[in-house]
Amino acid sequence: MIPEDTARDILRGSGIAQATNVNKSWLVAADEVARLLKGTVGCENFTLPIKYEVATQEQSPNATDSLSLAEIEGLPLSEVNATKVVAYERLLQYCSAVGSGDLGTLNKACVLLGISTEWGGAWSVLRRLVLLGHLEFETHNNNIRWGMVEPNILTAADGGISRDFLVGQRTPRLMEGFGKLFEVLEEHQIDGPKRMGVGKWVDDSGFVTSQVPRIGHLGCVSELIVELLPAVDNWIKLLPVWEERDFGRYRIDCYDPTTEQFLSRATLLQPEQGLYRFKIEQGKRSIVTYAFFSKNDDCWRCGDLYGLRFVARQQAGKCRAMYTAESRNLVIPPEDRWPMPYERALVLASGRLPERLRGDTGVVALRYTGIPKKMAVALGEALQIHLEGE
Amino acid sequence: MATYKAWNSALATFFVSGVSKGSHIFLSLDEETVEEMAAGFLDKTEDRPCEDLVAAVRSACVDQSSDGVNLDVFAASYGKIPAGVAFLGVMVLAACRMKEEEGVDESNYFLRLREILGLKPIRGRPKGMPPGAEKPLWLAWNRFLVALGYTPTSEEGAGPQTYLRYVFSQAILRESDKGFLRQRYRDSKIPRNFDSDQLGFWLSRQPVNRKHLSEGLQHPDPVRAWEFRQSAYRVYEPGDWANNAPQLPSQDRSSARRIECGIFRFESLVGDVQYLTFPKQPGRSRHSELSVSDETGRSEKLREFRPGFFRPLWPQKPFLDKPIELPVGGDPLIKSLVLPQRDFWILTFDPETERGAIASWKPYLDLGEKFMVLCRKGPYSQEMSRFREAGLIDWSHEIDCGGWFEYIACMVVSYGWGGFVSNLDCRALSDALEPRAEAGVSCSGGLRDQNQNAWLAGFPPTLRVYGFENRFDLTVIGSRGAQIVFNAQPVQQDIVLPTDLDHDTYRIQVNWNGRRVASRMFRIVAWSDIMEHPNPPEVINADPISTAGLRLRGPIVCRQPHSESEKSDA
Repeated sequence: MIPEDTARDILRGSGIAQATNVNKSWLVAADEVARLLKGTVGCENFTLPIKYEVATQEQSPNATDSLSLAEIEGLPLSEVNATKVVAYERLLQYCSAVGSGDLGTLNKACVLLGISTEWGGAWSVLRRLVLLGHLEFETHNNNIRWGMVEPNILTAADGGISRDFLVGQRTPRLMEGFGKLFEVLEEHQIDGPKRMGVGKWVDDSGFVTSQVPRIGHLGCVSELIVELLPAVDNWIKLLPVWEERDFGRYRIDCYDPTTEQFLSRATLLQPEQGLYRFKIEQGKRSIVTYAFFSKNDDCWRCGDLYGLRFVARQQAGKCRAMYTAESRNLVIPPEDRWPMPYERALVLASGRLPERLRGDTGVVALRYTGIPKKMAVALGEALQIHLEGE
Repeated sequence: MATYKAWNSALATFFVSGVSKGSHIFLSLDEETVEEMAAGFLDKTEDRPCEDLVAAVRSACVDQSSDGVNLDVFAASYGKIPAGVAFLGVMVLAACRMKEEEGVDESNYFLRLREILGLKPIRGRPKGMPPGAEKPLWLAWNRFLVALGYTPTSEEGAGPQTYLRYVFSQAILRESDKGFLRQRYRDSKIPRNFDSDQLGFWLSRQPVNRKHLSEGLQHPDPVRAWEFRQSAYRVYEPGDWANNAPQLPSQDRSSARRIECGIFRFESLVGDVQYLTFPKQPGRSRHSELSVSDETGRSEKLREFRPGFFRPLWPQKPFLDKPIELPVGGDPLIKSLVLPQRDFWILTFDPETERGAIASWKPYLDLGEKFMVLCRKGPYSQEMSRFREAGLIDWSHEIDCGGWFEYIACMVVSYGWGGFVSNLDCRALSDALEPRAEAGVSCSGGLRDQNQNAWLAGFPPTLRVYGFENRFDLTVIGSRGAQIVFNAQPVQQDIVLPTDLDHDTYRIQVNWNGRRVASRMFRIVAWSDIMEHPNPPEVINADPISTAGLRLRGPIVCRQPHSESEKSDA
C-alpha cells in the first residue's frame, strides 16, 4: 500500500493535477474516492460552478463634490407630514445604532427610508444633522466619514425661552430613560428629526441610576462658538489653496452676484476676484470644484458653494440679513446663506433648522429663531454684514 | 455551595461571554468547563465545582422518593435568563461522560443521566421526564440566545432521537476524547504555539480511530466542525499534556489560557495599507484590565473592540519567521498573547457592516462570500495559481507586497476540490478554502441593527442563494408559524422579502431535491427595540470650510489637539 503522501507526490511529479480515473483506487486513500467521484470522473464536473461576482463598488462622490452638490434649496420643499417626521426620526435612530459610517451608509438609509434618492440629498441630510449637533463628519482625500455624538443637553441661547434641547444619539429606549429624568417636549421640524426640548425635571429622590441613561450637559455651545469664530477675512485665509494651473481642461463659469447666476467664461487669463465654478468630466462622472479667486493673495481658495458664494456676495456688497430683537429672529435670503461654521452657531442657538419662508417665486428667506441680539450683532460684525431691522 | 439560581446564571453568562454577535453557541458542558465557569463566573469559590453543580441541580428538581424529576420548576425564568439552563447543562454533561464504546441511544444516555442525578441505575427516562418534556427548556434557551444576538445550535432530531438530538447536538468532546487528544499531542510532540487554525489543520490530518471525535472534526457542517476544533484547542492550550506525569484530576490541571492574534487590515484615508495585530478575546471568560508587553517591554492595554475582539494593536507584518509569545498581565489565568507564524491568512469583511474593515474575523468561510487571501511567495502563491487554473477559485487581482501576495476579492467557485491533487506543503490552504457546504444563503441590505444582530421592521434583508446547482427551493419560516416559500429559486439572484414581516426570528431553509442543504437564521426587531451603539468612534472635524478651524465634534468644542476631546464650559 503506497502511503497517501507518497502517492500525491508521485501524481504531482507526473504533472497530474486532478485524478480522473477512479479505477486507480490504489493511488489515493479509500475515503478519497468519494471525493473524487464528487469532483471529476469521466465528466467535466458533477456540480455546477458558482459564477464569480465582480465587485460593484458604489462610487460615492468625492468629498469636494459633496460640498458642492445642490443643497437644501434643490430639494423639493416639504411641509411637516407624519411620514417624513417618522422617516427622519428613524434615520437618526439608525445612525445612533450604527454609530459611524461613510456617505454611502447614509445614502442607503436615506433611500430606504424615502428621504432622498440622490447623493446630493444624502449630503444635504448629513449637513443638517451636523448643524443640529447630532453627529460630526470629517473628510480626508475625498472620503467622508461621520460619527454620532453621545447624548447631550444644550442650553438655548435665548436665556432658556426656547428651552434646553437634546442632541446626539437617540433611540426609543434612550428617550424612555430620559423621560424618567425630565419632561420631553417634542417639536416637529421640516426636513429634520424632531427637536426634543427639555421640560421640567423630575424630582430625583426615587431614581434608580442604572435605569437612567447617561447624558451630558454642554451649556450654551452656540455662544462659545460665536466667541471663537474668526472674522470672515481671516476665515477666508484659512481656506485651502487650490494649486490648479491647467484651467484649460475645465468648463468654467463665473458667479455674478447681481443676477445670482453662473455665467460661462471661455478663458481665465486674468481672473477677477470672485467665485468660479469648474467642471470636468471624468468618465461617467462630472467633478465640480468651487473656488474663490482672491486678488489680495493672488490665489484660489477652495470651499463649498454656500461659503464661497457668501464671500463673493459679501465682497460685492450684496449680502443682506434682517434681525428682529423682539422676536429674536434672524432672516436671510437663501442666496446669502452663511458659511457653515457660522450657520452652526445659528442652529445650535435654538436646536432648530432654519424655517423656509415661501413667496410666489419659491423660498424667499431662511428664518433662524431664538437668536439673541448680542449673538446676531457679533456674527454680523464677524461676517461684515449690516443687520437690517431693529 | 452556590445555589441553583447562581449556577444557572453563571452558565448562561459563561457561554456568551467574549463571543461576537451572530456566533453559534454550543452548551457544551464538560467537567473542565464547569471548573472554568465556577472560577470565573461564580461569586463563591467552589472546591469541587462539578459535584456542587450536580448537587444544586438535584436539589432543584430531583425527587428521590419517586425516583424522578420535576421539570415544572424550570418553566419560569430568572429575569431574562431561562431557569432550565443549568439542568440542560447537566444533561449535556451526562452525554460528555459517555464512553467511546457507548452507542448514542436513549438507553445508554439515560443511564448516564440517572447516574448524575442520583436516580436508580436503570435504563429509560426518569419519571417526570417523558419524551419531549425537556423540549420547552431547550426552546427557552434558544430564544434567550437569539434575543442576545447569538445563533443557537440545539435542534430537534427525528425518529428515535427526536429529543435526544437536542443533547447530542451540544455535546462536543467526551472526557475520553480529551484523554485521547492529550496523548496524541504528547506523542506527536507538536509545537506549543499553534493557533486554533493551525491545530485544526493538524488534527484534520491525524488518524483518529474514535468515531465520535472523528465525525466531529470532519463534520460537513463547518459550524460543528469548528466547535470540535475549538474544543480540541482548549485541551491543547494549557500545555499540560506535554509532560509525562500521570494525568492529573481535572481540578489540578493548569487552566492557563492565551490570547490568539489575527491581523487587521487598516487602510488609511489616503490609501496606504498597514496590517495591525488583532487580538481575539478569549471566549467564556470575564476580563479584568488586561495589558500586554511588546518586544520592547512597552505595555499596552487590551481594550475591547467588540465582544470577541480587542482593539487592534501595533503594526505587524503578516508573516513572521517564528511565532512570538508576549506576556499578558491582569488576569491569573490568561498568561500570554501569541503572534503565530503563518504561511497564509484568509481575511473577510467585517460581518457587522457591509463595507467594513477586512480582518481575520471568522474561522471559516460562507459559500458565496468574498474574502482576501494573503500568502507567502513561493509554494503557496504557486498553489493559488493552480487553484485558479483548476477553476476552483477566482479573484479580482493580486498585489505584490514584497514577501507575500494579497489576492483581492476572492471567491470559491467550485465544489470539485476533492479531485484536486494539492501540494503536500499547502494542504492547509486548500483545506481552509475547500467548501464543506453544498449551498449557502446570504443576508444583506435592509437596515440592520448590528448591536443586536437583527434587521429593523419594514427593512428586511435581501437574500441570495449560492450553490453548485442552478436552482434551490427556499422556505423562510418564522418562529410563530409564518412561512414564505420560494420555489426553484435561481442562484445568485436577489430574493426580496416582504416588508411587512413581523418582528420575529426567522429560519431560512434551503432545499435541493427535497433535501436540506443549508439553513440560516435572521431576526427582525421592532423600531422601538433599536439599540444605540455603545461607543461610537469619535470623529473630530477641524476643516476650515466647515468649522473655521475649530476642532468640533458636533456641539462639542475640542480644545486640545492631542488629547481626549473635552466638553465646552457651560
